[in-house]
Amino acid sequence: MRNKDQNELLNIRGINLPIGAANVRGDIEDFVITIYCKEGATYRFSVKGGNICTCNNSDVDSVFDYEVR
Amino acid sequence: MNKYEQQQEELKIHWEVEEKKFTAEANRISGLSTQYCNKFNSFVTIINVERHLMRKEINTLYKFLKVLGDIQDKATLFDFAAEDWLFSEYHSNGGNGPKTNSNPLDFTSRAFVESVAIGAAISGSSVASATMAATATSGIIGATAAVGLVMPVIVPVAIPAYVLFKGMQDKANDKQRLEDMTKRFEAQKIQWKKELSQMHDEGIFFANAVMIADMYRILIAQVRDTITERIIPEFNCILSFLYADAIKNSIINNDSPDEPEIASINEYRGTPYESHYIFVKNTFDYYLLINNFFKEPVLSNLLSKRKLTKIEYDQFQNKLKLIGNQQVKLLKDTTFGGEVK
Repeated sequence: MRNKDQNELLNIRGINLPIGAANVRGDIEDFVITIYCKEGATYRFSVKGGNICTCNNSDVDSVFDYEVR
Repeated sequence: MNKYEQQQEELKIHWEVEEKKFTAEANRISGLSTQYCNKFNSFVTIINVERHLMRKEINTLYKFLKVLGDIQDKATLFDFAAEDWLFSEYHSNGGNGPKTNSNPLDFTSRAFVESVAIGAAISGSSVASATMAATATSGIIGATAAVGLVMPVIVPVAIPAYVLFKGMQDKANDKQRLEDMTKRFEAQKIQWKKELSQMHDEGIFFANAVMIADMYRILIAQVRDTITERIIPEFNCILSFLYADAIKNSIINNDSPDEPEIASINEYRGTPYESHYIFVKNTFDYYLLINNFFKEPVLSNLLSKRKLTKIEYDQFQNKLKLIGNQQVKLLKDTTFGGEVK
């Protein structure tokens, strides 16, 4: 369970869970999780092979590559 | 008017000129010091307001660190010590202004006469002894003197001895008076020089105080900007990552992703996500630095003694430098450069 501080700080106004998309693609380990922060920032984490590979900040139109091998 | 009286008049004029020069310079320095004091006081007012406004950022930063880095075991949320010390006493007691005689040009004033007498007493001279010295050098008459007793000697001229002696005594008195005036003037010049030097040092101190207050003010702005524009957005990104990773694990493990529990940032050390760990660690160090810096009334401690040594100034600058370096260090590991809209 998230504690009060976590709830207060996360500032998430929505999480777009990619279950459907993942199922459609037939690969549960490849999907995208989108987290919308209250301040307006949106982070899209792409998961491949069970690992988060990139983070896309749509507000600044930039992708960060975690360089997961 | 004999030559001694003439020289006395010249000395009076010279004294008057020097007095005016001193007063003008003292007023100039005093005016500058006043300007610096006012500027410093306004800076302190601004600083206190900005520090008060910064509480919000510090609180947010502390909460983030609590969630991400177990900070509560290593540091506490600090509050700001008030910088309530101002240079108000500079004008209230007038103690720093130029100190001059009430009427230094009034050589007949009681104060002046007394000071001459005291000066003569200190130097060991007296009218009587000066008379003796003067007559001994003249070779015309000789006299022995003691306190309250003057013995004339016979001289081989037609002028009555007592008349000649009286003239010589007046002349000797004038010479003595000139010497005393000269001594007094020299002492006054030394005093003026000392006072100007003190005022000058104080003026430099006030100027340095303004410079330090300005540096302090800029630091607050930088810290606020760093927290607001760089750290908080990055922490949002890192927290989002932690939740995304927790959600990802829930999905893969077929658990409910509704209430994902995030892992400690320490668990990402040595992983492809280590940059997040490094950023949190650097931010924690940054927090400790600004904690140590702002919880003390730095300006008050530094300036209330009205004396600032180079060591103290260097220490202050080193603290600013440490904070600045830590800012640069932590910003190297931001995911998106800390940008946020």
